[in-house]
Amino acid sequence: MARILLAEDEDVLRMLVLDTLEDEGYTIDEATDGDEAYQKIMSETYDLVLLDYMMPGMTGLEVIEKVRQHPEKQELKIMMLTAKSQQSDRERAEEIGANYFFSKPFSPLELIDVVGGILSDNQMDQ
Amino acid sequence: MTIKWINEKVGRQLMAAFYVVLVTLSMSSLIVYDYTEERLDVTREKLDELSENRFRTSGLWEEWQDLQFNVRGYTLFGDPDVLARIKKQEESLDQQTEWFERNSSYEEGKTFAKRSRELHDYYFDAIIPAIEEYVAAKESGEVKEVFLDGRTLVSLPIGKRLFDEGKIKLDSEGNIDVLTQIGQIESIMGDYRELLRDEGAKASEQLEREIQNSQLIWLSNILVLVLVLFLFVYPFIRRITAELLSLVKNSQRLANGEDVSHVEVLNRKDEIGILALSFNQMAASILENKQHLLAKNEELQAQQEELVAQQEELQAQQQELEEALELTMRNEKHLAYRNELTETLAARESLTAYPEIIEKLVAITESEIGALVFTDENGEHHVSTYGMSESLADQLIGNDFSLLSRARSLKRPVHSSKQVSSDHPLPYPYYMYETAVPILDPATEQVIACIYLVRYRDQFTSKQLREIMSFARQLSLSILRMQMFDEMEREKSKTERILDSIREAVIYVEQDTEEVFVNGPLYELFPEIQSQGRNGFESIAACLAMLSPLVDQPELLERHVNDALSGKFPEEALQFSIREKCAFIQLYVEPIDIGSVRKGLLLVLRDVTKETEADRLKTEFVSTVSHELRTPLSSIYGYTELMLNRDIETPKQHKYLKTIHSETERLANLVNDFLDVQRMESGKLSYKKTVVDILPLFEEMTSFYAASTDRHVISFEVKDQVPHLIEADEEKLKQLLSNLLSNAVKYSPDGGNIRVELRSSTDEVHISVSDEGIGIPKDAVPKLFEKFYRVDNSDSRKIGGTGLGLAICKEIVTGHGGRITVESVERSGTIFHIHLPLLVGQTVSI
Repeated sequence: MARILLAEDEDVLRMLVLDTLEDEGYTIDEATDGDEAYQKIMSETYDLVLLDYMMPGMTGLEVIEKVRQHPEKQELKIMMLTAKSQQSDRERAEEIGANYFFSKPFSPLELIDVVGGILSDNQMDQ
Repeated sequence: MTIKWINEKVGRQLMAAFYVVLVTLSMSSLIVYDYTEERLDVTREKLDELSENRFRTSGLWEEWQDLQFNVRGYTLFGDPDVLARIKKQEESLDQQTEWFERNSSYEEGKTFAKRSRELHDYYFDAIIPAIEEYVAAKESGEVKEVFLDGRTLVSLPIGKRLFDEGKIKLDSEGNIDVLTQIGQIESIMGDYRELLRDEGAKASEQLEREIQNSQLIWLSNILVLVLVLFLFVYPFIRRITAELLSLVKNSQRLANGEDVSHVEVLNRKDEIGILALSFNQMAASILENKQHLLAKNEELQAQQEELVAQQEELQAQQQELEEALELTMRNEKHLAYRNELTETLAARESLTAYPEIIEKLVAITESEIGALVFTDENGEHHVSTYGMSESLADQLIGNDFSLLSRARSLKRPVHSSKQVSSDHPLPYPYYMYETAVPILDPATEQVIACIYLVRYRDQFTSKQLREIMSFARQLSLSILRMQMFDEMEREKSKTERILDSIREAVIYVEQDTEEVFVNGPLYELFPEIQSQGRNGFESIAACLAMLSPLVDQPELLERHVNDALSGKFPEEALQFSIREKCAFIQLYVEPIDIGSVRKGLLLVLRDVTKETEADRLKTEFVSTVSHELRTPLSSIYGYTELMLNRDIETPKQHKYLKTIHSETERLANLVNDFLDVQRMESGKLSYKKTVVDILPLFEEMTSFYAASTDRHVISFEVKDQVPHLIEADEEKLKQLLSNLLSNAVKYSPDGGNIRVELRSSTDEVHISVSDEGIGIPKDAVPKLFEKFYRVDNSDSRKIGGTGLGLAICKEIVTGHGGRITVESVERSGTIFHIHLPLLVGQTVSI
């Protein structure tokens, strides 16, 4: 089954995503800030990373920037969970290597669809 | 020739005389010396000869004696050594006798020599050989007698022969006769010695005489010389002295100014002769000079007289010139006064120049006192005086019948003269000449001022009066100009005051001159700029150069201003920040046109920091609010969707619902906070105050919070058990403590003790809430109670919040007349102190 890393500082939101996706059968790792997220990305292998934009420590953007410096992490799929849906932020994030965006507040069902879509693409690619 | 040469110099004459004497002296001395020496030598030789004769005589005699003894000794003992000595004596005696025979110059000497020869021959030819034979016989024993017996001797062969020959004679007793001959020789020798002694004495006497003679000759020689010297040199010197004295006497006479026509020209060729000659020449020349001088003197006297005459003439001319000069100076001074007055009139820009003007007028017109009286539109008088007492000035203005009033009403100059009693200001009666000249406004013919002048000596001349009139006209223009200038100054300062009193900084650039005017607020807005006054900047460029370093976007500012200067007016105002966003400035540029002519450019700088800050806060507020709202909304939205679309187990359902509930509560609190802040902003936060005992209220709340956390130990402590009554809104007090406690819990994520303490003083209750949490950085403390302020670091980012809690706390405490402070050490904890006033008189019933 696909492994997902969830990096989100708000306990309630992390719990919600966890509750939503765990029931779909994904294996989910948690990170509560940017630094933790970066460490987990570098030490483990994930099929998808859900990354909050605003986090203590490194922000989501900073995490992407750092991760993408490593050649073996170029293909890692990263989806940003962001309240800041402004176009400029998205452009900046895409530039440095974010693959997908998902706006808060979000619908859990939609999240399931999107994540499912991404991961099935993944499997199809394989 | 030589004589002539000698005669040329006195010195040479003297030297010649000296040499003659010297030569004479030397020659005579030499002659005398030679003669004396010769004489003395002869005498000395004689003495020497006599002495030798005497000495030799003695020697010969002693030799003979010695021989006799030797012969006797030989005869007795027959010693051959003695015989040898005798043989030697033979030779010596022979030589000595021979000397006498040869050298003796006296008869006695010759006799002595002859006798000595005879004796010699007798001894050595006869006696000695006979004795030798006798001694030999004695030794052979033929003769046996002790003492010699002559008869024995002559009995021996040789003796017999000699006896026979008669060479040896025997006396009557048979002894050999030698004594006869010896005695003869002795007496001869005595005579000879006597003679020698006499001769010696004679020779000595001779020598003494000779010495005395030579001394006498010496003395006479010297005497002769002295005499010669005296006879020849003295007259010579005396003559020279006499001649010199005569010259000296004549010189003195000449020096005394006597006429010395001539001195005897001596027939001399030496210095004295030359001196006499030159003296004569000098005397002649002096005489000539004297006469020449006398002539000159007369001439000079004539010239002097002429000069005196000329000098007198010059003095007269000088006096004339001085008078002219004085007049010129007077005129000059007058002109100077006029010039100064004209300058004063032309250049002065305010009423302060008037005393100077009247002073100068008095000086020019040679008046004693003067006044310049102005009448303003209200008919009031202002006076500037010179040499006038205040009372006199008041009298002048106050009197409606004075000359001044007349001039004013007649609008033309008025003059008067009157006799004044002797009391004042001069001690005798005098005339006082007054003149009053009105100054008319050339436009309205209104009297605007009046000149009033007084003099005592004499009347004003018509020239002076004309002058006064001309000044009056000049003054009228000048006064009008001054009034206009003052008006302008007033307007200008009014404008400046207005410009300074507005809040905006203003820079005005004159179109033509490019002069720059700024107002006071500019310097307030930019205190870094040293104040240069209103017109301190040379150009707008200089002004911009001062501003640019302070501006964060200098190019923007310069472009904006330069565009405006070149006529392109930007439609929108420029906003820029200064001092690294410490303040925000809005700049707008307005052209100042009069008619269609561009007069200048007005740059207005407005401090919009507050507005900008408000905008920024508003934006931040919106962003914070949306973020804070979005999280609970997201979770509520998400969980409800899950619950609606899935079949969920009951325990999970319960969990979901609990989350939804707490998030809804959070949402509600947020909304309340926002509303409070909104009310706070608009000043509408109202308190429903009642008398509250905060002790039970806070105790209850603390225990409630203590129950809701298991990581923290929350305690409540009261230092004094009295009612802590305050007049307060109970709900707001709850909110206050709740905010502080939830902050304490929130910002000590690792747990720890949280203490609420309560204590009271006479008029205050002091509540402190302390935690052992992450603390607050020092630089954040001053902004801590500002709205939406959140400490910006990783710890605080982790811990969410709206940045409203403490702002609301402060609002509540302030609203209750109290104060809130904080002390904090980063990473070890924070204490909030709240001081609230106690209700006055605690007995008030609840």
